[in-house]
Amino acid sequence: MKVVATYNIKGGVGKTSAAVNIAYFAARDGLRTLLWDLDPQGSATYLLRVKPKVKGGGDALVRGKRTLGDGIKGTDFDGLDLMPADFSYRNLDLDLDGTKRPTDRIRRLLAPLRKEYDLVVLDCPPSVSLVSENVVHATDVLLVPLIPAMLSVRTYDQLIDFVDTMPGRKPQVLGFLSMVDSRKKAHRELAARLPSDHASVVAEAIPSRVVIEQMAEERAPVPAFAPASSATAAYEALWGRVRSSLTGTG
Amino acid sequence: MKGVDGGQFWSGLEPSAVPAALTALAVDHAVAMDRPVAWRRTWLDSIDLRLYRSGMALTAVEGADGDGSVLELSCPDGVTVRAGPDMLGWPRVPARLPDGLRPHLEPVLGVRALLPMVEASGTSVTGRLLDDEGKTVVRLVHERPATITGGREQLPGGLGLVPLRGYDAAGERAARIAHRAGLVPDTPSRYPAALRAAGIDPDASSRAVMEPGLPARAAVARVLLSFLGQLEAAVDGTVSDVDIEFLHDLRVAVRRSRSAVKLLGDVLPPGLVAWAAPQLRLLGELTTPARDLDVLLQELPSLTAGLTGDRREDVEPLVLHLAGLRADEQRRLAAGLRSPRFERFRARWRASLLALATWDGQPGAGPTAAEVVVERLDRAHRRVLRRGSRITDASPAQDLHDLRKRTKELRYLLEVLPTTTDPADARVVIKELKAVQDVLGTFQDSETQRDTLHSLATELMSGDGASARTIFAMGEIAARLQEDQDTSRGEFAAVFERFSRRSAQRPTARATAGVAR
Ligand SMILES: Nc1ncnc2c1ncn2[C@@H]1O[C@H](COP(=O)(O)OP(=O)(O)OP(=O)(O)O)[C@@H](O)[C@H]1O
Ligand SMILES: [Mg+2]
Repeated sequence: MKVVATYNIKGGVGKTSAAVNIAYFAARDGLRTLLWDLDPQGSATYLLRVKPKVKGGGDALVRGKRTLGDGIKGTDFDGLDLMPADFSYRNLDLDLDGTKRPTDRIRRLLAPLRKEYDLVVLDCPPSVSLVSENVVHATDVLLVPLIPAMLSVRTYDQLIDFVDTMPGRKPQVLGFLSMVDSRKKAHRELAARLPSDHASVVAEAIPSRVVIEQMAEERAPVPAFAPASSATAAYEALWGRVRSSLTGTG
Repeated sequence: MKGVDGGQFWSGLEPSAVPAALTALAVDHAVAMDRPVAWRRTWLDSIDLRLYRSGMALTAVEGADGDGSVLELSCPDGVTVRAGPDMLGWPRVPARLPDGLRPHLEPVLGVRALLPMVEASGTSVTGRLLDDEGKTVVRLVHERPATITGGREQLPGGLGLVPLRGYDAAGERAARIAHRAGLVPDTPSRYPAALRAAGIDPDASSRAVMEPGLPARAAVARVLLSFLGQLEAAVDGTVSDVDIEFLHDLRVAVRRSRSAVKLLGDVLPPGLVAWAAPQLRLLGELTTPARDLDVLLQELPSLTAGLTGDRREDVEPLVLHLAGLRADEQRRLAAGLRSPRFERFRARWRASLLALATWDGQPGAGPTAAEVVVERLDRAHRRVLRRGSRITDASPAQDLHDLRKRTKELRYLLEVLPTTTDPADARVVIKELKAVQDVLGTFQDSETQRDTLHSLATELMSGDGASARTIFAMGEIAARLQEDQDTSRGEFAAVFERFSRRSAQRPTARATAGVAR
């Protein structure tokens, strides 16, 4: 079982959009895939039409006895399952910043599912700290969306340094350009320069496209409703890159 | 036809039940249906339905464009194993099945080949039950009634319901709705239903049993007719050498027919018996050489496994020689079974038996089957006891071979009788008798095989390709066979003593006489 996380301390940069589309392509390629919505806001859960559990529902009674597997929901797409956000927080006592819990909590929760899934995609919330050690410890590939702006490049560099200095198991960090607007000169320049400056930033960029925003109305991955769009092609290429990185990781 | 892995299949004999269930489901959920898809599939099994009997089903699902078919094996534990695309065609022995399926099928099939049992084609529509977010909670497959190739019956339609993970409650609700609409749970592979639709009753007993109250003549004729049916059913498979068990089945049918004629034939017209008995004997003799070679080839691996050191290659020339002989015998056998002579025998035998098998229900048509069989049984039992008690360690081998024949007759009579008022008694007797037969069987078979090895050695030495090593290995095998024979002679006394004691406590006649009183 391999684990990929979409990760960035900044909000609204395309983490959830990437996580959902990449998980879709992984399942289409025959990998048994679990998308774990770690964001209490539940955007990925919403995009895949899974209902949030009503507050105060019966499961309060059995709190503490439940495992990750109890919360998993099948999606409309073959081979793609979802772990909804609310279940994680109400039943699993998650604390991503790792102040109260050991930093390998995610890994331990995933351990019983090793045989059931080939790939787990973690959709992370924007983090309060630079790095959630819990996420970093759990993943093989940390997929970081980068808005083409100088500031985001600086935080990215800090993230790379941080992961480098971390003790123990380290994920491979892959940056990709997100929401690239080719009409903007600054975007074009950065998009051309970054992959050559930074070995870990991949050339497969995600353009800014209306169809990606439409995911919220369609409540489905882009390839499910706009299979011929350039956004579909871009996510598919990005998935291809992630997949080859995964085969390289132990 | 789409599988319903992890779900439940519901079918309805009543054609309106499936549409009714769909309508009822649509009250609870939005239902989204895809386009109908045509399918064609073949259910495979051995001729004696070994997969069916072990709760398995193997289907070949035809690809859309003649690009091979996908093999789907449903195991008794609910697991489905798939392999393909597969292009090789049928019949096929287990050794030629895809690697993924062999470990599951070989233990069940043994040497038996897989044949197409039923072929059907139809259309199915996949769909989904959606919740109020428009999300799929249950996948469904609507199977329309399908056409059985070469049959008049249809495979009833049905509904597969597969709840998505985490939606068990919705799945249970849908199942209750299906049930209320008149659908009943069915095997997802549809194999039992397909067999029945093709007019095959998979649970029919293949054992021919006498009807005790019938006049003996009609009852014996009916039993012989059913043996003839078994014989005919095995002919094609034997001629085309589908697997070696067809020949075995054919021989069993011939042997049973011969026993019936010999032990009960006096109730039939003497002219018919005088004609049929030698015909059946010739038929038996026609099949013996090929069967003996089959058995030897089957047993060779375990015999060579006992050789000192790994000397498999030493016996390779013997295996090649045997395979060559077997091919010759197979040709001779096939020619015999395709000959006009065999066809004439078969047709006349069937016509004569049919004429005898009918009974108009009038009394006074001679003794009943039960009366005759009980009397024969008693006599056969006494004969076995008498001959067996005379056997000593010094008896010539032929005496043991003769006793074996007598035990076969007794066994045959015990089995041709219907279950008695006290089946436990008959079972005890049969069990002890079987132990005696096993010992006598090993005794005779090891001798036969040793004789065969001797004559083969002579053949090999006068021909080419046999090294001293091969002959030497054969000698070692022969020595082991001799040991087996000696062991079984040593075991005989104790096994026979138990049989005679226990069968005397429960006299076979009494054990079965319930039918006569
Ligand atoms: N390439 C793109 N082109 C156009 N719109 C995009 C693109 N990527 C994301 N968006 C839109 O931007 C918004 C934020 O995207 P998304 O939810 O994927 O980001 P996020 O990093 O997961 O956000 P958050 O931090 O809130 O979880 C969404 O409305 C989404 O539709
Ligand atoms: Mg998000």
